[in-house]
Amino acid sequence: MLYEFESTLFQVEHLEKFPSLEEQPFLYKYRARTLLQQLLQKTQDPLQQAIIHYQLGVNFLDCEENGESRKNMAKSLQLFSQIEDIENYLTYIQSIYNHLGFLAVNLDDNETGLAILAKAERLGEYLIAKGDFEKRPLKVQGGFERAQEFYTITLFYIAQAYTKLGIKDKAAYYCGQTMLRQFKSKTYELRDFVINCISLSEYYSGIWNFAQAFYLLLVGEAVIPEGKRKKLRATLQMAQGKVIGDMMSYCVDCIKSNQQNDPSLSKLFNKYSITFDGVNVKQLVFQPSKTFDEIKSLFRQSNTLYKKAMTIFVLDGFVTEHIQMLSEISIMYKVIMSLEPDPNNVIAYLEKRLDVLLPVFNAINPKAYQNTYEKLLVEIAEINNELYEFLVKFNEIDDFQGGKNKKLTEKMNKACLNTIQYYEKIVEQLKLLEEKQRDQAYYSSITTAYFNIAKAQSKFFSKDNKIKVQYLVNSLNQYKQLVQFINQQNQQNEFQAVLQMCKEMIQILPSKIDRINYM
Amino acid sequence: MSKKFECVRVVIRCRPLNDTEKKDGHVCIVNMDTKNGQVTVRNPKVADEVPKQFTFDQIFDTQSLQENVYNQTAHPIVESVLEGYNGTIFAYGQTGTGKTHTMEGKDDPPTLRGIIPRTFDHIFQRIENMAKNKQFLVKVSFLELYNEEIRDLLSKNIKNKLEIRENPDTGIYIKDLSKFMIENPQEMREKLLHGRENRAVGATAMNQDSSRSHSLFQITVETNEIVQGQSHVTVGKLNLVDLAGSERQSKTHATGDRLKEAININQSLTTLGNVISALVDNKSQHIPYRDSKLTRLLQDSLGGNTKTVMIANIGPADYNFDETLSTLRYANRAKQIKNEPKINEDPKDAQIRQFQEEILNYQLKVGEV
Repeated sequence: MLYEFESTLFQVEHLEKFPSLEEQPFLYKYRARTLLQQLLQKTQDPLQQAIIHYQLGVNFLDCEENGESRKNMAKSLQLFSQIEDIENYLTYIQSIYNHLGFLAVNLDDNETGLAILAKAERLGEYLIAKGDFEKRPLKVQGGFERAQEFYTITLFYIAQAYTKLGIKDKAAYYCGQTMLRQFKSKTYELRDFVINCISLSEYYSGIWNFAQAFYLLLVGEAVIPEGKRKKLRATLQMAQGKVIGDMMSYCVDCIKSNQQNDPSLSKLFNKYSITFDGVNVKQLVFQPSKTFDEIKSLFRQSNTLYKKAMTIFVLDGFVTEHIQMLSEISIMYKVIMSLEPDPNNVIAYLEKRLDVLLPVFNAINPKAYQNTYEKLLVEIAEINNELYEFLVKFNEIDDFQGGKNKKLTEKMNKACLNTIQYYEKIVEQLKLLEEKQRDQAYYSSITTAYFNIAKAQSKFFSKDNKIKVQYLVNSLNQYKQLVQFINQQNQQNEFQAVLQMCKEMIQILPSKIDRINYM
Repeated sequence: MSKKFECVRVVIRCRPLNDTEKKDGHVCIVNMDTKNGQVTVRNPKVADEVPKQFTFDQIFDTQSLQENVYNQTAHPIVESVLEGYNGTIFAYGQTGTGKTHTMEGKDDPPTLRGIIPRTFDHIFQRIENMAKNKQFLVKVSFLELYNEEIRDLLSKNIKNKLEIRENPDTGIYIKDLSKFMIENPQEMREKLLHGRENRAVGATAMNQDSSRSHSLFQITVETNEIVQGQSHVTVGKLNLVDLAGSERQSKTHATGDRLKEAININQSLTTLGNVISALVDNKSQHIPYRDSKLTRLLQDSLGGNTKTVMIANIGPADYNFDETLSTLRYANRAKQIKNEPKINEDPKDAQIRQFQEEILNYQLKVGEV
């Protein structure tokens, strides 16, 4: 019987490995199943029956017959539990727990599933701690290696179960543990592993655990062979720049809300739960930045990382990545600007943002990069808007006084004209939308654009009263057109504040025009 | 700023029962309501199960003619390509569903010709009839995408893996992908056949499952129009994409387990990346490395001023139930494909308040005066 048992299992293994046919995908599996069912009839040995039921459980699951799979797995477990030297067959138990846990979670019986998988997890830990197995007949081939493999699968199933339950922190932990197992057993594909490092890092960065996030990226870098996979390495550097940038933003927010000295911040930034053995990567400590100088240091670190990545992701070849990084740098300038006490530096930061973005904006073909073009267009319009408004205030420019500093007034005018130009481009882009595609976001965007054009028109300064009046008249007409537009499109409720301001400007501007005319 | 978007237009075509199926006593389980674009499929194994219903932009029943299918799906797309826009035609369907008949058809009689030969003829007929001040350059390329690796099917060395690059002016392209100038439909067809042969040979040599690979035949039409002595060039790209079959969906079965449409957990560790990605906030930035290569290759052909259609083929017979349901669900998901999310450009509250203060200050000043 032993011979027939072993040879049947061998045949079954052979049939299971046959490639599926498109029209009859389970043909060979059904044949394997028949052999197992026939074998089951012939044996009274509980151990053999346990193994056959296990194999049937796997077969039914592969054929998507979950109910039968569960029954056979449960039967197998029951039979194994009656065997005296069960210690030698624990990898079967491990695999049965994995299957039963998987099946329960897929039936949305998540509590039961997790409880079973917890058993699989404990068993896996026990087996791995125990070390190698003695080789004997009737056992799962591979012994210790198989236990390792099943343990990795257990962790993966648990990660998914927690994802289904929406318990993200536990899901992330188990995803990390699965990656650890893959790393340890060297059963990973390099690109996939690195991308997983980046994605998991992004999760941890999102919950402000910057140390864990950065660590994962350093691990990703460490597994890449020296001098190889430059793009992959550059992608990691880009992600590292983002983590530091995100941390900088968070610290700035803390400073602005006077929470920079909160003692819990350090703990928030440094919760290590996933660490890889056998990788030469330090667990860095990320101290919250509390001063403007420390913030600037973070900026420089992030900027350096982006610059490194951009030596690989050059514009000609990697437009998306290159512009993505420049946009991130621009955002970092925006963030850092909010703490800047010196108005001259604020102006410098705004101009720097334009220096960073304008060259690529002018280099790309809008038709080939429509999304990217529009994002840059909006950002450049907003920067110019912010710049001229800041200069109006800082330089104390009003309708009659040119401001304290002539050069700053010239700068203001230039930014003003740019604002008009870029918001007009935005309107052009928006008008390309067909009627049926004009949703609330469209109205919001076009209203903002018209409004900002109108406002900018009214701010342009000229000593020549005729020119000044012309701009004010343009502004007045623009406000009137906007009111008409909002009313025609029945958007009065959605843009009450804007409508109100337009009406007030329509009242104010004629008197301004008159005053200038009489000067 | 709100972003232009167009969903992928999805059409379904169902072939008739063939002689063998009729002889074997197979019955039709698919009902096509062409007027309302509704496809209904009943489960042949469970009599009292509510039939599953899907709605699409257009459906073609068992009596549909090749000419009608072409005119209503591919024709407008080819026209727009000739005007300098991009277009994509996806073909989807598992073995035996009539995908080849829809896309290729037969040469004899000519009424049985499918979308691809009609497309080739359409392009060159229009070129011949175009104004004399226009010059045309037609080029083709043919690639395969298998397991996120791109291969040139018209290359002498098909094993070379190719890379995606982006040129600031011309957009996305495949580095070192061979392109051939074509002067007539016959030459175009020869390239297609040549690429297919290479695909079959390559698949065997590399032990690939060809049903798991996508292929992309791209026709580029460059039009140079001379207007008042000035040259005006437009470029239109037409992608003919043969999509790989999707993974077999879970069956319902007779053991009483609950029917689940929920997301199931996966056995394969290859899906770890998806599990991790699902943890990340939706607001995370778009980074190219995360996109599938197919998405990147077609990114300038999905949305904007582009036209896209997916033609999904299904079989009518009872034994095809699982595959038919799988295809219809896949096609249903394809309907949801849109462009990137909109860029929000709402008036900032702070800016509004600031401006309101300015107005108030001015009013006060005027009041003082």
